Amino acid sequence: MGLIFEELVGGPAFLSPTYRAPLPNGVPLLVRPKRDPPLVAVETWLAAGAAREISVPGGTSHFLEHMIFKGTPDLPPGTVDRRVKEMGGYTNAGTSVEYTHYYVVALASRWRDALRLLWDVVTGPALPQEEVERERQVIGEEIARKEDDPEGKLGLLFLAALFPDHPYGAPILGTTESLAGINRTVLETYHRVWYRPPHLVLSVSGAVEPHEVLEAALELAVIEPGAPPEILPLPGPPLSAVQTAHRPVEQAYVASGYRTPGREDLALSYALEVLAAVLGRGRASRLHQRLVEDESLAVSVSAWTWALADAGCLGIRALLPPDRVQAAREVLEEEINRILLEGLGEEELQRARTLLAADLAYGNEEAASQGAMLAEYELLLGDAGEALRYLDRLEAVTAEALHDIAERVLRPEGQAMAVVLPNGGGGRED
Amino acid sequence: MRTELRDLLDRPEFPGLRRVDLAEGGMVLLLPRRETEVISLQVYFPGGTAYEADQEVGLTNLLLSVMLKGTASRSARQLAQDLASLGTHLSMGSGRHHANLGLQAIPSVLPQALEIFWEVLFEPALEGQELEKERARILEGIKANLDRPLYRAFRLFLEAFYQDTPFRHPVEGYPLTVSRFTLEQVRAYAQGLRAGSPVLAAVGQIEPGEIQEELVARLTDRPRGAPLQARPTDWSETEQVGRSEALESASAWVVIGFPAPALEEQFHGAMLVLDALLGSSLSSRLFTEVRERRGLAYQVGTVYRAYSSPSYLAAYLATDPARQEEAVEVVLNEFSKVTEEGVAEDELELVRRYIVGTYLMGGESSDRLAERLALYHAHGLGPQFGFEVLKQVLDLSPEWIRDAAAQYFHDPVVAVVGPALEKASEDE
Repeated sequence: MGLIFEELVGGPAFLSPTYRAPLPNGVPLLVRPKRDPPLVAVETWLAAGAAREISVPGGTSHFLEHMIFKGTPDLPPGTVDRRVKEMGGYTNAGTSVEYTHYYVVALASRWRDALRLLWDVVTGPALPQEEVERERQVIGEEIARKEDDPEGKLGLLFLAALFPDHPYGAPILGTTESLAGINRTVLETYHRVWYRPPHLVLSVSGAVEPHEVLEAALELAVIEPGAPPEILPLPGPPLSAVQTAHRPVEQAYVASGYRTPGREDLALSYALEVLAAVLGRGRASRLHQRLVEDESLAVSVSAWTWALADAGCLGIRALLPPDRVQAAREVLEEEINRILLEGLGEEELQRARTLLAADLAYGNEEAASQGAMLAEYELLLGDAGEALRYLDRLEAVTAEALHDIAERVLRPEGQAMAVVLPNGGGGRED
Repeated sequence: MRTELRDLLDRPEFPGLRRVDLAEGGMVLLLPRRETEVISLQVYFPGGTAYEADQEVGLTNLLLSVMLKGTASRSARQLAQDLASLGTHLSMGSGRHHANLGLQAIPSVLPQALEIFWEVLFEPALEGQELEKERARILEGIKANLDRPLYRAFRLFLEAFYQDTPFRHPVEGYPLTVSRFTLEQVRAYAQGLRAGSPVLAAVGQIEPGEIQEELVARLTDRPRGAPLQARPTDWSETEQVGRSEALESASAWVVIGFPAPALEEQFHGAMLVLDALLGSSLSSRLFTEVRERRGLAYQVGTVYRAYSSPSYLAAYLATDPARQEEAVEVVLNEFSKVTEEGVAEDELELVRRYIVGTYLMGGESSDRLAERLALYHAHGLGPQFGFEVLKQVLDLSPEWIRDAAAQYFHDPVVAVVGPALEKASEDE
């Protein structure tokens, strides 16, 4: 048949070995054998998320995720999870801006059943009409639940400020208004576009033999390729005004950040990760030292990055008393200016790299985490091997390059901010 | 499948485990795992809520926080930088019966990481300025906790459930208690904590022969004194209780709980089954009835908190405030059903497999394994406790499950946090 089962070389020991094969149906298959314990994790990743909802109502990707678990024509609602339990496992899913992923983790002896079941439900869901109405109600409760969560509300506000009037900044769950526009036809059409090659990746990790997995994957039902997706317009500039919400809370929840280029500039993405670690990863980070330790302004602070296809973000989150928000903003501005004026030292840079590398190891002991990481890289970058090169990419980041990138990215016109405050105010805001 | 599960459970749960008992109480446990690239350490000392008088609630948590803020030879900043330079994390936790300190490190830096670990454990600076900073941070953190409706609902439940026992208290304490702790109190508590019998578990890419001597020596040579004394924790079951707290939230947050067997009690295995049956997974009874059939909630589940002291099983959910009463009724009805009707063998078999499989999944992470190992031994349960319970689960009959439900699922404690609804008029 000429099928190439390639071993991806290099990388940390916890991702080695990893095998990749492009299945004849256009789906990349990744296999990460891990002998102990006797478990298996099967993942399917689809390039269907809020960013794809250009001409469908907001929340369609997430709604479809809920509906996948309602079974297939051969599996009535409620039976999917029971099948997984019978394998000694559990199943779940998640929807993000650029992807939806589904997974089954089970006893290794049942890997064939797990693979077959996940493939069948993801590629051939029944989408029963009566379940659509029930799920609309459930998702309405999910939206209400998020409204009660100050961190959840903050995230919604911040992304909407960073990517206004753009799918990147739209709520993944949708709104109660947009949910009303989702019906079975919308879901079925959307599924036909996105739950197909080339928008689908399959990974299997755990106590499995790679060639056996490949043989089993070749027997999976063939599916026709999906329709080409619509082109997503580029996002406009972020909103300059601080976005504010009030909730029955006692503390202030603050998110501030800068628009950055996306994954089209991969080297920059890695550099931004290092920059975010210097700024806000752990107690030794600049913002923790200034805001939490030196000035006692914040309870906690962290920095993070997010690289979407053609735009991204360097963000900072802080939890603090409402009457300290303005003072904290001033300190944040000082620290950003310090980076722009003075750059970063090699010792600080190396600390950030060391922390990122160690955290990668700590977070990827489990077969499920390893499989998910590989599948995510394959889906979003078209190359799972990039996951194995992650540590090398970090090492390649220099202080000079970081300074250049900081000057490019940390600019007022690219900044957005959101705050959740107690009812009745309690903090200064613009 | 049953045979396969038995075969999995007939092997040692912690293969290669080495145990060394310390001369004056406590132990070191070493579990090498070749397939991982990390090392996790957890050391547990007797301490926590059961050792705090009412006016001392939160003292353990404050002490542990300040311990991470500098040592005799490193300032707080230097400590943070040295840990980051090694890619090493220190963690701390305060529970009911124990206080724990944890370490995560990569093998190549273990010697340096351990050096810092011992300094933090036995030579923390515990100095005034850092105490004040941590006190302030914890006080603000207490407010932040109350910003989360589900946390508030559980707090309300625990206060009603545990009545006058120490277990009703949050581990972080109250503003009134935390604001009054003195440096002398914190230092005295530290001495008492370290004088207790420690259980240390080291898991991951370790060479036991290389580190055993150091671990044993450091714990054996630790400063002595009078260990902390546990407080009385007598508890009697409540009668049916309902508590509510008004909050301007979009959802009503509900917790409904019952007494449950402690770790070593005869119905512990049965309660694991009932927890899974009722509220774990996407096909649990509550998920099916509350969410799938009635659309009452997005989030619904159960937690079974099993301790060596009075334990509980609680269901929780968030629902439309207008349907809150319906939600409570549906949940209580499911508990009644399993009490009256029990569970069929085929459903029970699915739950057995789920319990065994997910327990094994918890053993992939070195950190979780170290916690599990240390906790089992700190409670005097031994290294095969987990697998022995699972073997019992495989043999439990539907009748036994029903008996367990009948014994425990009566007199619920119901806690609700959400918008205050207008009372129906008497005429309606």
